[in-house]
Amino acid sequence: MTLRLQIIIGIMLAALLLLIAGAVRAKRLEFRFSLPWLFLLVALLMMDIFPGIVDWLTKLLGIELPINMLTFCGLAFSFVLIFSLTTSISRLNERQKKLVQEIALLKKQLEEYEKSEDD
Amino acid sequence: MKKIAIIPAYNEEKSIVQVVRDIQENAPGFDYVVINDCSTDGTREVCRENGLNFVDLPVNLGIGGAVQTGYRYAQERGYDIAVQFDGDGQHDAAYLNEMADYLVKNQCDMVIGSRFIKKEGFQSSYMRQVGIKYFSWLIRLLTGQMITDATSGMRMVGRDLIDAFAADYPRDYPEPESTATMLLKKKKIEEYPVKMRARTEGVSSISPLKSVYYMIKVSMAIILVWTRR
Repeated sequence: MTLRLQIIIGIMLAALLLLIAGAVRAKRLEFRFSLPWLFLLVALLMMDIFPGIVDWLTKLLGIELPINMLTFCGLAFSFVLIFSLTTSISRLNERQKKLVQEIALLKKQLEEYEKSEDD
Repeated sequence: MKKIAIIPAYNEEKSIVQVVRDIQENAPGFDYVVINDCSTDGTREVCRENGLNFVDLPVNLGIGGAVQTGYRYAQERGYDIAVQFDGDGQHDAAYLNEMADYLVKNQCDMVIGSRFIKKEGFQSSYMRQVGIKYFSWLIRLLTGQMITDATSGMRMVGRDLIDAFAADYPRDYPEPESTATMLLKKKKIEEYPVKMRARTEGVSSISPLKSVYYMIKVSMAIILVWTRR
């Protein structure tokens, strides 16, 4: 890896860090959801500063080219993240359904109560 | 004994009043509640103008969520028997008291109104029937019991299953899945022969395009239920 590439990647990672930190500060992103991204950034930063890690990991996993190792790890990370998102959505769906039902039933009771007050 | 008909309604402005009148005239002893699932037509206005008893969902929940609202309503108000009754005029209220008598006499947990015991009245299209036969086969394979009309939306339950459905009910295409669930919980489910009518207004919630998706999804859901038993 050339020094030029290391610097370019370093700048990109810094920009991403600012993006994430900004989103958390503005409360567009909950802090706990920013954690996986921050871990990812730290890991990438380590690889950028110490390229030896990439070669070591590639050998460790028995992969021939470093680029393939990076693609593989990227996919694995994406998979875990998306899976956790779909489970979150399922939980939200269930909660939203309960709330909607509760509101509808309460509104019904309120209407009946108001009617009985009028009589 | 308090009895109630749960009528889920999504865009049924043309048929809903008639359905309620059918219950009032032909099912004495039955209260009813319409669950308006955030219809985009005039269903809500029609309910209000005609003084119908209805619950208005602020967000569309789909058939399962709407029906479950009805079960929760029935549970809160201490009903002993609840029956699902379509808002599109397919079902005939004259059967409700017969079904209730049958449920009480035979101590069933659920009684399903089936079109395919006497094979009278509207029998659905050929393709639908193939699908329904397939569900019968699948449910029989996994639970050992024959249910001829697993997709029937005309289902009556006692206290026990009112509570169970109020707590947990599938979101969409709920009938075959919830029937299989309760069979595996050793609930007593029987069928009662009814005639149904072809719908007069509105369109079925299951379009031909969606039917393959429907078959696969419900099959997987039923198998999943089986693995949880």
